[in-house]
Amino acid sequence: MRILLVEDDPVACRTLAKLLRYHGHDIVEAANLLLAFERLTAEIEVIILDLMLPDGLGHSLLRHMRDTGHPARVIVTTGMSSPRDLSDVRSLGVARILQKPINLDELLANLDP
Amino acid sequence: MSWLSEIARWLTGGPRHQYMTLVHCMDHDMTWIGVTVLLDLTVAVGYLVIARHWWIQERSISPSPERQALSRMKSIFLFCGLCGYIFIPIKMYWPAWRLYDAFMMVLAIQTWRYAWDARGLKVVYHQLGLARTLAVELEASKAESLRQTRFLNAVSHDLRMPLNRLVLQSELLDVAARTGDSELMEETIRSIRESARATSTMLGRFVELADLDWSEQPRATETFDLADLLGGLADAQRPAAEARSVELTWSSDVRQIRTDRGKLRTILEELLKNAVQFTYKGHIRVQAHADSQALIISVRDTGLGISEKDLERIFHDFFQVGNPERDPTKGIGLGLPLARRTADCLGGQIDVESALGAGTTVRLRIPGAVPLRTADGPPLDLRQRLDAGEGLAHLAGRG
Repeated sequence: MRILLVEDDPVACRTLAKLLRYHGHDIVEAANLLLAFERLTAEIEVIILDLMLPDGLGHSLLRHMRDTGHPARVIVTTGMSSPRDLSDVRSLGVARILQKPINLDELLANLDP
Repeated sequence: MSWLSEIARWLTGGPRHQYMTLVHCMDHDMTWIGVTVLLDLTVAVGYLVIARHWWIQERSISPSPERQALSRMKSIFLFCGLCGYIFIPIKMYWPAWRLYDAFMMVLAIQTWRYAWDARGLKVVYHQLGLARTLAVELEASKAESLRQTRFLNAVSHDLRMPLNRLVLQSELLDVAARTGDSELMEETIRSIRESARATSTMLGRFVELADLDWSEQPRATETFDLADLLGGLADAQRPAAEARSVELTWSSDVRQIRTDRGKLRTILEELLKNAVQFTYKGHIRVQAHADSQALIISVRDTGLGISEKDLERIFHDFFQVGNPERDPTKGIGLGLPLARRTADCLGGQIDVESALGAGTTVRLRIPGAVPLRTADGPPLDLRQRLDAGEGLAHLAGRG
Protein backbone atom coordinates (compact mmCIF):
# COMPACT_ATOMS: atom_id res chain seq x y z
CA MET A 1 0.00 0.00 0.00
CA ARG A 2 1.38 3.43 -0.92
CA ILE A 3 1.15 5.73 2.08
CA LEU A 4 1.87 9.45 2.35
CA LEU A 5 3.13 10.04 5.88
CA VAL A 6 2.78 13.71 6.83
CA GLU A 7 4.53 14.26 10.16
CA ASP A 8 6.66 17.20 11.28
CA ASP A 9 8.44 15.43 14.12
CA PRO A 10 11.45 14.01 12.26
CA VAL A 11 12.13 11.26 14.79
CA ALA A 12 8.54 10.04 14.90
CA CYS A 13 8.27 10.29 11.12
CA ARG A 14 11.44 8.30 10.53
CA THR A 15 10.50 5.65 13.10
CA LEU A 16 6.93 5.24 11.87
CA ALA A 17 8.13 5.06 8.27
CA LYS A 18 10.52 2.23 9.19
CA LEU A 19 7.76 0.37 11.00
CA LEU A 20 5.31 0.71 8.12
CA ARG A 21 7.96 -0.37 5.64
CA TYR A 22 8.62 -3.38 7.83
CA HIS A 23 4.93 -4.19 7.49
CA GLY A 24 5.28 -4.10 3.71
CA HIS A 25 4.04 -0.65 2.84
CA ASP A 26 5.53 1.86 0.47
CA ILE A 27 6.06 5.14 2.37
CA VAL A 28 6.37 8.69 1.06
CA GLU A 29 7.40 11.12 3.82
CA ALA A 30 6.46 14.79 4.10
CA ALA A 31 7.62 17.00 6.97
CA ASN A 32 5.31 19.91 6.19
CA LEU A 33 2.22 20.94 4.25
CA LEU A 34 4.12 22.17 1.21
CA LEU A 35 5.84 18.81 0.77
CA ALA A 36 2.55 17.01 1.42
CA PHE A 37 0.86 18.93 -1.41
CA GLU A 38 3.81 18.18 -3.70
CA ARG A 39 3.87 14.47 -2.88
CA LEU A 40 0.13 13.86 -2.98
CA THR A 41 0.01 11.92 -6.22
CA ALA A 42 -2.76 9.80 -7.65
CA GLU A 43 -0.96 6.63 -6.51
CA ILE A 44 -1.30 7.51 -2.84
CA GLU A 45 -3.85 5.18 -1.24
CA VAL A 46 -3.62 6.24 2.39
CA ILE A 47 -2.52 9.46 4.05
CA ILE A 48 -1.40 9.50 7.66
CA LEU A 49 -1.73 13.15 8.50
CA ASP A 50 -0.52 15.10 11.51
CA LEU A 51 -2.73 18.16 11.94
CA MET A 52 -0.29 20.64 13.46
CA LEU A 53 2.38 21.31 10.88
CA PRO A 54 5.04 24.02 10.84
CA ASP A 55 3.55 25.79 7.83
CA GLY A 56 -0.13 25.37 8.67
CA LEU A 57 -2.88 22.99 9.65
CA GLY A 58 -3.56 19.68 7.95
CA HIS A 59 -7.11 20.90 7.27
CA SER A 60 -6.02 22.64 4.09
CA LEU A 61 -4.75 19.34 2.65
CA LEU A 62 -8.06 17.72 3.56
CA ARG A 63 -9.99 20.50 1.83
CA HIS A 64 -7.77 20.20 -1.23
CA MET A 65 -8.47 16.47 -1.37
CA ARG A 66 -12.19 17.02 -1.01
CA ASP A 67 -12.18 19.68 -3.75
CA THR A 68 -10.14 17.55 -6.17
CA GLY A 69 -11.95 14.32 -5.27
CA HIS A 70 -8.77 12.51 -4.28
CA PRO A 71 -9.83 9.02 -3.17
CA ALA A 72 -7.08 8.37 -0.60
CA ARG A 73 -8.15 7.20 2.84
CA VAL A 74 -7.06 9.68 5.49
CA ILE A 75 -6.03 8.81 9.02
CA VAL A 76 -5.38 11.83 11.17
CA THR A 77 -2.89 11.63 14.01
CA THR A 78 -2.94 14.44 16.50
CA GLY A 79 -1.82 15.58 19.89
CA MET A 80 -4.90 17.80 20.20
CA SER A 81 -7.54 16.38 22.45
CA SER A 82 -10.28 18.97 22.52
CA PRO A 83 -13.39 17.72 20.69
CA ARG A 84 -13.95 21.26 19.36
CA ASP A 85 -10.54 21.15 17.69
CA LEU A 86 -11.40 17.91 15.95
CA SER A 87 -15.03 18.41 14.96
CA ASP A 88 -14.16 20.33 11.78
CA VAL A 89 -11.68 17.61 10.79
CA ARG A 90 -14.36 14.94 11.05
CA SER A 91 -16.53 16.92 8.68
CA LEU A 92 -13.76 16.86 6.08
CA GLY A 93 -14.13 13.17 5.39
CA VAL A 94 -11.45 11.70 7.64
CA ALA A 95 -11.61 7.91 7.99
CA ARG A 96 -10.15 7.81 11.48
CA ILE A 97 -8.63 10.12 14.07
CA LEU A 98 -5.87 8.61 16.19
CA GLN A 99 -4.58 10.33 19.29
CA LYS A 100 -0.87 10.48 19.90
CA PRO A 101 0.92 8.48 21.15
CA ILE A 102 -0.06 6.28 18.24
CA ASN A 103 -1.06 2.70 18.87
CA LEU A 104 0.66 0.89 15.99
CA ASP A 105 -1.77 -2.07 15.92
CA GLU A 106 -4.70 0.33 15.73
CA LEU A 107 -3.00 2.28 12.94
CA LEU A 108 -2.24 -0.87 10.94
CA ALA A 109 -5.80 -2.11 11.41
CA ASN A 110 -7.15 1.16 10.03
CA LEU A 111 -5.03 1.25 6.88
CA ASP A 112 -7.50 -0.96 5.05
CA PRO A 113 -11.06 0.28 4.62
CA MET B 1 -69.93 59.53 66.69
CA SER B 2 -70.74 63.21 66.92
CA TRP B 3 -67.25 64.04 68.23
CA LEU B 4 -65.75 62.40 65.13
CA SER B 5 -67.85 64.46 62.77
CA GLU B 6 -66.99 67.50 64.84
CA ILE B 7 -63.26 66.79 64.36
CA ALA B 8 -63.81 66.21 60.65
CA ARG B 9 -65.63 69.50 60.33
CA TRP B 10 -62.87 71.25 62.26
CA LEU B 11 -60.22 69.81 60.02
CA THR B 12 -62.00 70.42 56.74
CA GLY B 13 -63.63 73.74 57.49
CA GLY B 14 -67.16 72.49 57.87
CA PRO B 15 -70.13 73.11 55.61
CA ARG B 16 -70.27 76.80 56.29
CA HIS B 17 -66.57 77.30 56.63
CA GLN B 18 -67.03 78.28 60.18
CA TYR B 19 -63.63 76.87 61.31
CA MET B 20 -61.33 78.30 58.64
CA THR B 21 -61.28 80.61 55.70
CA LEU B 22 -61.45 78.70 52.44
CA VAL B 23 -59.11 80.38 50.00
CA HIS B 24 -58.56 78.65 46.75
CA CYS B 25 -57.70 79.64 43.25
CA MET B 26 -60.08 77.48 41.31
CA ASP B 27 -62.07 80.44 40.13
CA HIS B 28 -59.55 81.66 37.59
CA ASP B 29 -56.85 80.44 35.15
CA MET B 30 -58.51 77.05 34.92
CA THR B 31 -56.43 75.93 31.93
CA TRP B 32 -53.09 76.12 33.74
CA ILE B 33 -54.53 74.76 36.93
CA GLY B 34 -55.83 71.80 34.91
CA VAL B 35 -52.38 71.28 33.37
CA THR B 36 -50.79 71.35 36.85
CA VAL B 37 -53.23 68.80 38.21
CA LEU B 38 -52.72 66.57 35.16
CA LEU B 39 -48.93 66.72 35.46
CA ASP B 40 -49.08 66.03 39.19
CA LEU B 41 -51.18 62.97 38.64
CA THR B 42 -48.92 61.81 35.80
CA VAL B 43 -45.92 61.98 38.12
CA ALA B 44 -47.87 60.16 40.85
CA VAL B 45 -48.71 57.33 38.44
CA GLY B 46 -45.04 57.18 37.46
CA TYR B 47 -44.19 56.78 41.13
CA LEU B 48 -46.66 53.91 41.38
CA VAL B 49 -45.14 52.15 38.39
CA ILE B 50 -41.61 52.54 39.85
CA ALA B 51 -42.84 51.18 43.18
CA ARG B 52 -44.47 48.22 41.42
CA HIS B 53 -41.21 47.27 39.66
CA TRP B 54 -39.37 47.73 42.91
CA TRP B 55 -41.83 45.44 44.66
CA ILE B 56 -41.55 42.76 41.95
CA GLN B 57 -37.76 42.80 42.13
CA GLU B 58 -37.85 42.72 45.89
CA ARG B 59 -39.85 39.49 45.83
CA SER B 60 -37.18 37.82 43.69
CA ILE B 61 -34.67 37.66 46.54
CA SER B 62 -35.01 35.87 49.84
CA PRO B 63 -35.46 37.89 53.04
CA SER B 64 -32.23 39.51 54.18
CA PRO B 65 -31.05 42.69 55.92
CA GLU B 66 -30.34 44.23 52.50
CA ARG B 67 -33.82 43.46 51.24
CA GLN B 68 -35.31 44.92 54.39
CA ALA B 69 -33.27 48.11 54.05
CA LEU B 70 -34.29 48.52 50.43
CA SER B 71 -37.88 47.77 51.27
CA ARG B 72 -37.92 50.64 53.78
CA MET B 73 -36.51 52.93 51.14
CA LYS B 74 -39.26 51.84 48.80
CA SER B 75 -41.88 52.74 51.39
CA ILE B 76 -40.35 56.20 51.87
CA PHE B 77 -40.20 56.72 48.16
CA LEU B 78 -43.79 55.69 47.62
CA PHE B 79 -45.15 57.52 50.64
CA CYS B 80 -43.44 60.81 49.92
CA GLY B 81 -44.05 60.66 46.19
CA LEU B 82 -47.71 59.84 46.36
CA CYS B 83 -48.44 62.18 49.23
CA GLY B 84 -46.67 65.06 47.57
CA TYR B 85 -48.16 64.70 44.14
CA ILE B 86 -51.67 63.65 45.12
CA PHE B 87 -52.19 66.20 47.86
CA ILE B 88 -50.98 69.16 45.83
CA PRO B 89 -53.94 69.01 43.43
CA ILE B 90 -56.36 68.14 46.25
CA LYS B 91 -55.08 71.10 48.20
CA MET B 92 -55.65 73.34 45.20
CA TYR B 93 -59.26 72.29 44.90
CA TRP B 94 -59.96 71.84 48.57
CA PRO B 95 -57.68 73.96 50.68
CA ALA B 96 -58.51 72.38 53.99
CA TRP B 97 -55.36 73.63 55.66
CA ARG B 98 -55.90 72.02 59.00
CA LEU B 99 -56.41 68.63 57.41
CA TYR B 100 -53.36 69.28 55.27
CA ASP B 101 -51.28 70.20 58.29
CA ALA B 102 -52.44 67.09 60.15
CA PHE B 103 -51.39 65.05 57.16
CA MET B 104 -48.07 66.89 56.92
CA MET B 105 -47.42 66.10 60.54
CA VAL B 106 -47.81 62.38 59.82
CA LEU B 107 -45.61 62.79 56.73
CA ALA B 108 -42.92 64.58 58.75
CA ILE B 109 -42.94 61.89 61.44
CA GLN B 110 -42.77 59.11 58.86
CA THR B 111 -40.03 60.84 56.87
CA TRP B 112 -37.87 61.26 59.96
CA ARG B 113 -38.51 57.67 60.95
CA TYR B 114 -37.34 56.58 57.53
CA ALA B 115 -34.42 58.99 57.70
CA TRP B 116 -33.36 57.20 60.85
CA ASP B 117 -33.82 53.84 59.13
CA ALA B 118 -31.77 55.01 56.16
CA ARG B 119 -28.73 54.05 58.19
CA GLY B 120 -29.64 50.52 57.12
CA LEU B 121 -28.59 51.43 53.59
CA LYS B 122 -25.00 50.85 54.58
CA VAL B 123 -25.82 47.13 54.59
CA VAL B 124 -26.88 47.42 50.97
CA TYR B 125 -23.82 49.37 49.95
CA HIS B 126 -21.58 46.99 51.85
CA GLN B 127 -23.15 44.09 49.97
CA LEU B 128 -22.81 45.95 46.68
CA GLY B 129 -19.13 46.54 47.38
CA LEU B 130 -18.73 42.90 48.29
CA ALA B 131 -20.51 41.83 45.13
CA ARG B 132 -18.24 44.06 43.06
CA THR B 133 -15.14 42.63 44.74
CA LEU B 134 -16.44 39.11 44.20
CA ALA B 135 -17.17 39.86 40.55
CA VAL B 136 -13.62 41.12 40.05
CA GLU B 137 -12.23 38.08 41.85
CA LEU B 138 -14.45 35.79 39.80
CA GLU B 139 -13.18 37.35 36.59
CA ALA B 140 -9.59 36.94 37.77
CA SER B 141 -10.34 33.38 38.78
CA LYS B 142 -11.89 32.65 35.37
CA ALA B 143 -8.88 34.15 33.61
CA GLU B 144 -6.55 32.10 35.79
CA SER B 145 -8.60 28.98 35.17
CA LEU B 146 -8.46 29.62 31.43
CA ARG B 147 -4.72 30.16 31.64
CA GLN B 148 -4.31 26.92 33.57
CA THR B 149 -6.46 25.04 31.06
CA ARG B 150 -4.37 26.40 28.21
CA PHE B 151 -1.23 25.51 30.09
CA LEU B 152 -2.46 21.96 30.70
CA ASN B 153 -3.56 21.62 27.07
CA ALA B 154 -0.14 22.77 25.93
CA VAL B 155 1.53 20.42 28.41
CA SER B 156 -0.66 17.58 27.19
CA HIS B 157 0.11 18.39 23.56
CA ASP B 158 3.84 18.77 24.10
CA LEU B 159 4.13 15.63 26.20
CA ARG B 160 2.43 13.57 23.53
CA MET B 161 5.26 14.21 21.09
CA PRO B 162 8.10 12.58 23.06
CA LEU B 163 5.70 9.89 24.27
CA ASN B 164 4.73 9.21 20.68
CA ARG B 165 8.40 8.90 19.82
CA LEU B 166 8.97 6.53 22.72
CA VAL B 167 6.01 4.32 21.81
CA LEU B 168 7.04 4.11 18.14
CA GLN B 169 10.70 3.56 19.01
CA SER B 170 9.79 0.74 21.38
CA GLU B 171 7.78 -0.85 18.54
CA LEU B 172 10.80 -0.47 16.30
CA LEU B 173 13.03 -1.98 18.97
CA ASP B 174 10.67 -4.94 19.06
CA VAL B 175 11.00 -5.29 15.28
CA ALA B 176 14.80 -5.00 15.51
CA ALA B 177 14.88 -7.70 18.21
CA ARG B 178 12.67 -10.01 16.18
CA THR B 179 14.69 -9.57 12.99
CA GLY B 180 18.03 -9.69 14.82
CA ASP B 181 19.08 -6.35 13.32
CA SER B 182 21.65 -5.32 15.94
CA GLU B 183 22.50 -2.06 14.18
CA LEU B 184 18.85 -0.97 14.18
CA MET B 185 18.58 -2.12 17.77
CA GLU B 186 21.51 0.03 18.89
CA GLU B 187 20.28 3.03 16.95
CA THR B 188 16.77 2.66 18.40
CA ILE B 189 18.00 2.29 21.95
CA ARG B 190 20.03 5.47 21.48
CA SER B 191 16.94 7.27 20.20
CA ILE B 192 14.84 5.96 23.06
CA ARG B 193 17.39 7.22 25.53
CA GLU B 194 17.38 10.66 23.89
CA SER B 195 13.59 10.82 23.81
CA ALA B 196 13.37 9.74 27.45
CA ARG B 197 15.86 12.45 28.40
CA ALA B 198 13.89 15.09 26.50
CA THR B 199 10.68 13.91 28.17
CA SER B 200 12.30 14.04 31.57
CA THR B 201 13.61 17.57 30.97
CA MET B 202 10.20 18.62 29.75
CA LEU B 203 8.45 17.19 32.79
CA GLY B 204 10.95 18.89 35.05
CA ARG B 205 10.21 22.21 33.36
CA PHE B 206 6.47 21.78 33.75
CA VAL B 207 6.88 20.98 37.43
CA GLU B 208 9.19 23.98 37.99
CA LEU B 209 6.80 26.35 36.28
CA ALA B 210 3.72 24.92 38.01
CA ASP B 211 5.57 25.17 41.29
CA LEU B 212 6.30 28.84 40.67
CA ASP B 213 2.70 29.53 39.70
CA TRP B 214 0.78 27.54 42.24
CA SER B 215 2.77 27.39 45.42
CA GLU B 216 4.29 29.80 47.86
CA GLN B 217 7.85 30.68 47.00
CA PRO B 218 9.80 31.43 50.13
CA ARG B 219 13.07 33.22 49.52
CA ALA B 220 16.13 31.35 50.69
CA THR B 221 18.33 34.40 51.07
CA GLU B 222 22.01 33.76 51.59
CA THR B 223 25.32 35.49 51.12
CA PHE B 224 27.46 34.06 48.34
CA ASP B 225 30.13 34.85 45.80
CA LEU B 226 28.48 36.02 42.58
CA ALA B 227 31.68 35.39 40.64
CA ASP B 228 31.53 31.71 41.60
CA LEU B 229 27.98 31.47 40.37
CA LEU B 230 28.66 33.25 37.06
CA GLY B 231 31.84 31.26 36.50
CA GLY B 232 30.07 27.96 37.13
CA LEU B 233 27.20 28.80 34.81
CA ALA B 234 29.53 30.00 32.06
CA ASP B 235 31.64 26.83 32.35
CA ALA B 236 28.50 24.69 32.02
CA GLN B 237 27.36 26.47 28.84
CA ARG B 238 30.78 27.01 27.28
CA PRO B 239 31.07 23.62 25.49
CA ALA B 240 27.77 24.21 23.68
CA ALA B 241 28.88 27.74 22.75
CA GLU B 242 32.35 26.65 21.62
CA ALA B 243 30.84 23.90 19.49
CA ARG B 244 29.52 26.80 17.38
CA SER B 245 32.74 28.82 17.72
CA VAL B 246 30.95 31.30 19.96
CA GLU B 247 33.06 32.91 22.65
CA LEU B 248 31.40 33.02 26.08
CA THR B 249 32.92 35.38 28.65
CA TRP B 250 31.82 36.90 31.92
CA SER B 251 32.89 39.68 34.24
CA SER B 252 31.58 41.03 37.49
CA ASP B 253 32.14 44.21 39.49
CA VAL B 254 30.41 42.48 42.33
CA ARG B 255 31.75 39.70 44.53
CA GLN B 256 29.69 38.95 47.58
CA ILE B 257 25.97 39.32 47.21
CA ARG B 258 22.99 38.58 49.38
CA THR B 259 19.92 37.17 47.65
CA ASP B 260 18.27 33.82 46.82
CA ARG B 261 21.10 31.94 45.17
CA GLY B 262 18.95 29.12 43.75
CA LYS B 263 16.51 31.46 42.07
CA LEU B 264 19.24 33.70 40.70
CA ARG B 265 20.95 30.61 39.32
CA THR B 266 17.73 29.46 37.63
CA ILE B 267 17.23 32.83 35.96
CA LEU B 268 20.81 33.16 34.74
CA GLU B 269 20.93 29.56 33.54
CA GLU B 270 17.84 30.10 31.39
CA LEU B 271 19.16 33.39 30.01
CA LEU B 272 22.50 31.83 29.16
CA LYS B 273 21.00 28.72 27.58
CA ASN B 274 18.78 30.91 25.49
CA ALA B 275 21.69 33.04 24.36
CA VAL B 276 23.71 29.96 23.41
CA GLN B 277 20.79 28.42 21.55
CA PHE B 278 20.30 31.42 19.29
CA THR B 279 23.90 32.54 18.76
CA TYR B 280 25.75 30.95 15.86
CA LYS B 281 28.73 33.29 15.63
CA GLY B 282 30.49 35.98 17.61
CA HIS B 283 30.27 36.08 21.35
CA ILE B 284 28.15 36.04 24.47
CA ARG B 285 29.13 38.39 27.30
CA VAL B 286 27.77 38.26 30.82
CA GLN B 287 28.38 41.35 32.93
CA ALA B 288 27.35 42.04 36.51
CA HIS B 289 27.42 45.33 38.35
CA ALA B 290 25.37 47.06 40.99
CA ASP B 291 24.03 50.48 41.67
CA SER B 292 22.85 51.73 45.04
CA GLN B 293 19.56 49.90 44.75
CA ALA B 294 19.94 46.78 42.68
CA LEU B 295 22.09 44.10 41.19
CA ILE B 296 22.15 44.28 37.41
CA ILE B 297 23.31 41.39 35.26
CA SER B 298 23.26 41.65 31.50
CA VAL B 299 23.63 38.85 28.97
CA ARG B 300 24.65 40.28 25.61
CA ASP B 301 24.92 38.10 22.51
CA THR B 302 25.61 38.54 18.81
CA GLY B 303 22.98 35.99 17.87
CA LEU B 304 19.98 35.97 15.56
CA GLY B 305 18.12 38.67 17.47
CA ILE B 306 14.39 38.91 18.01
CA SER B 307 11.87 40.74 15.88
CA GLU B 308 9.88 43.52 17.53
CA LYS B 309 6.64 41.58 17.40
CA ASP B 310 8.23 38.62 19.17
CA LEU B 311 9.90 40.68 21.90
CA GLU B 312 7.07 40.33 24.42
CA ARG B 313 5.90 36.95 23.17
CA ILE B 314 9.19 35.29 24.07
CA PHE B 315 7.99 35.40 27.68
CA HIS B 316 4.71 33.67 26.88
CA ASP B 317 4.42 30.03 27.88
CA PHE B 318 5.37 27.64 25.06
CA PHE B 319 6.27 30.40 22.61
CA GLN B 320 9.31 29.44 20.59
CA VAL B 321 11.27 31.18 17.90
CA GLY B 322 12.55 28.89 15.18
CA ASN B 323 10.94 25.63 16.27
CA PRO B 324 7.67 25.42 14.39
CA GLU B 325 7.70 21.63 14.51
CA ARG B 326 7.99 21.88 18.33
CA ASP B 327 10.84 19.43 18.54
CA PRO B 328 11.32 19.00 22.31
CA THR B 329 15.05 18.47 21.89
CA LYS B 330 15.21 22.15 20.79
CA GLY B 331 13.42 23.28 23.93
CA ILE B 332 9.77 23.66 24.70
CA GLY B 333 9.37 27.41 25.11
CA LEU B 334 9.30 27.54 28.88
CA GLY B 335 12.84 28.74 29.62
CA LEU B 336 12.26 32.48 29.42
CA PRO B 337 8.79 32.33 31.06
CA LEU B 338 10.46 30.42 33.89
CA ALA B 339 13.21 33.04 34.12
CA ARG B 340 10.72 35.91 34.22
CA ARG B 341 8.47 34.24 36.80
CA THR B 342 11.51 33.46 38.97
CA ALA B 343 12.68 37.07 38.65
CA ASP B 344 9.18 38.15 39.72
CA CYS B 345 9.59 36.01 42.84
CA LEU B 346 12.68 38.03 43.68
CA GLY B 347 10.89 41.29 42.96
CA GLY B 348 13.13 41.75 39.95
CA GLN B 349 12.56 42.39 36.29
CA ILE B 350 13.96 41.27 32.97
CA ASP B 351 14.23 43.67 30.02
CA VAL B 352 15.17 42.72 26.51
CA GLU B 353 16.71 44.85 23.78
CA SER B 354 17.02 43.21 20.41
CA ALA B 355 16.63 43.51 16.70
CA LEU B 356 16.70 40.84 14.02
CA GLY B 357 20.30 40.10 13.02
CA ALA B 358 21.70 42.53 15.60
CA GLY B 359 21.93 40.28 18.63
CA THR B 360 20.15 40.53 21.94
CA THR B 361 20.81 42.07 25.33
CA VAL B 362 18.84 40.72 28.25
CA ARG B 363 19.11 42.75 31.42
CA LEU B 364 18.18 41.31 34.80
CA ARG B 365 17.64 43.76 37.62
CA ILE B 366 17.11 42.57 41.17
CA PRO B 367 16.36 45.31 43.69
CA GLY B 368 17.62 44.71 47.19
CA ALA B 369 20.31 42.28 46.07
CA VAL B 370 22.95 44.80 47.00
CA PRO B 371 26.59 43.78 46.97
CA LEU B 372 28.38 43.26 50.26
CA ARG B 373 31.75 43.28 48.56
CA THR B 374 32.84 44.57 45.18
CA ALA B 375 35.46 42.97 42.97
CA ASP B 376 39.01 43.74 44.10
CA GLY B 377 37.62 45.80 46.94
CA PRO B 378 37.46 45.32 50.69
CA PRO B 379 34.19 44.38 52.36
CA LEU B 380 31.82 47.31 52.42
CA ASP B 381 31.82 49.06 55.76
CA LEU B 382 29.26 48.41 58.44
CA ARG B 383 27.14 51.45 57.60
CA GLN B 384 26.89 50.42 53.94
CA ARG B 385 26.10 46.86 54.86
CA LEU B 386 23.35 47.92 57.23
CA ASP B 387 22.01 50.21 54.51
CA ALA B 388 22.11 47.19 52.27
CA GLY B 389 19.62 45.52 54.57
CA GLU B 390 21.96 43.14 56.33
CA GLY B 391 20.93 42.82 59.97
CA LEU B 392 23.32 43.22 62.91
CA ALA B 393 22.70 39.62 63.97
CA HIS B 394 23.77 38.44 60.56
CA LEU B 395 26.90 40.57 60.62
CA ALA B 396 27.72 39.32 64.08
CA GLY B 397 27.17 35.73 62.92
CA ARG B 398 29.62 36.17 60.07
CA GLY B 399 32.21 37.43 62.49
